Amino acid sequence: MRLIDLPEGVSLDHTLLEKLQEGFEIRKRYFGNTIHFHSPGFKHYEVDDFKVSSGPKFVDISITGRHCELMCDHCASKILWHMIPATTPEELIKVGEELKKKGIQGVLISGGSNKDGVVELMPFLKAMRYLKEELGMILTCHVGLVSKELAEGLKEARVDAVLLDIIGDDRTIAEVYKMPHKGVKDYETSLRNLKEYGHNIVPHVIIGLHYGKVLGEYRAIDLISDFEPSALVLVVVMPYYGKAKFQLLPPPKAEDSAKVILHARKRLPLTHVVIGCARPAGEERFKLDVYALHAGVNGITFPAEGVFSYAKKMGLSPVVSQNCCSTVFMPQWS
Amino acid sequence: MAVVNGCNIPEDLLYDVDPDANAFTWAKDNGDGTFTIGLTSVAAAMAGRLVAYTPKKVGKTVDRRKSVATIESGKWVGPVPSPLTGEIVEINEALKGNPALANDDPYGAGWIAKIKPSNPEEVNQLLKGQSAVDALTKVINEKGIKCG
Repeated sequence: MRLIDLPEGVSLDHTLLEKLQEGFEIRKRYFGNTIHFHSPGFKHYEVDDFKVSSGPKFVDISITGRHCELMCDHCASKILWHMIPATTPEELIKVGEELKKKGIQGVLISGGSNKDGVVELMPFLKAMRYLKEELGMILTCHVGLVSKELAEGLKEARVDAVLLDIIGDDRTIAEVYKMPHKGVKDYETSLRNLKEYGHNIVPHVIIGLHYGKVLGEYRAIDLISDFEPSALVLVVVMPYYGKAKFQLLPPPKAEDSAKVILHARKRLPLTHVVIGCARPAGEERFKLDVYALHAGVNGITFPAEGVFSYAKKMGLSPVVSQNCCSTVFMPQWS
Repeated sequence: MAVVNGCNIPEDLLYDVDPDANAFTWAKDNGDGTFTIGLTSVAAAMAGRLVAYTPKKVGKTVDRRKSVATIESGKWVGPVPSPLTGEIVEINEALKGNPALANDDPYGAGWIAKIKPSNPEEVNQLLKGQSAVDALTKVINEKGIKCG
């Protein structure tokens, strides 16, 4: 394994790097040297070696504004705060038309969940179809639990990809998500419903979701691997987003996250595995991103400073995209 | 001290203000050959509540308008352009543990770095007094910024 110079003060676990090599070999075998770096438009992102200068092309819309009934411990609805609100179908159409005029090519539609973990998208399906068919936008949708009815509706809305967080432990669903009446089986059913209607699914796994500890992540990945996802997005919990008691907790160590990433790479050798936009900031982010490169991920969103250069030194060929990383499997959009 | 749309602008500091360069910083002569530099309240409001502060290493020399640190909020990640060319002599360890100090006390505990300038003439390029207030007021009005 070729070792590459690291920034001063950063040290990596070399035993772990040797183990991650297996993931890198998988990515080389099935995906060659291409590595995707994403910079979607909801955030200005500029570090020494990575910056997208042109205006945003892909943005997020929330159908509930900042409101979420669940108010999970790890998020407390803050993930919605940067999204563009469109809380009625009419407003969604208007927002879509305005975005189109500004040159936006794609949108992610999401929102807060109700107490049953469902993002109530049913009233918005016709408006979503308008965005897809009349405005020609790429349309992704980040949902909660999915019934057959919603899966069918999303198909009729011609959604390009359905994104959903998969949780692999009932304790996390009960304690962090406040849904003791739900379980892993409900997430499995959601995946099944979506596949039954022929959706491109892009499951997300949040590493460290159980108060900073790795608990159900391996099971979640195993579960996802049974449903032929179009891509898998891995993110890491960000304690400063959460409720007060969550903010005091350390996120999982980059080394522990790297092991989860390697597991995903091995379970899904032919599927795009990408690192999403949510993960802790600062120096730990650099370590995580470098481990992820060594573990053979296909892409990284908002790469930490130095990671773009590091990837090139590894012999990888970067492709920069302004779209959401969940579009990585769509050749014309990635 | 001038206050515009809730944004404090102390008139005893030096300022580097240039929207094209994303420069909205202040500098203060410490009288010992070093300058303390930081974000203005305007820059802190534009960035939003900070969640990370990653400074360059002590001993590194940075050029004027080049990054002395990377800061991150929920909606913005970017460099803090140094108002002066020089060697970084100290970084703010307290800010590492609590980046939002740069929002809560941008001219005090939330300082970004201390620099030993290598080109003293650059100090003359910085704005002071009413001209600094005018430049920042223009930015505040054009961008619709409110502090606090």
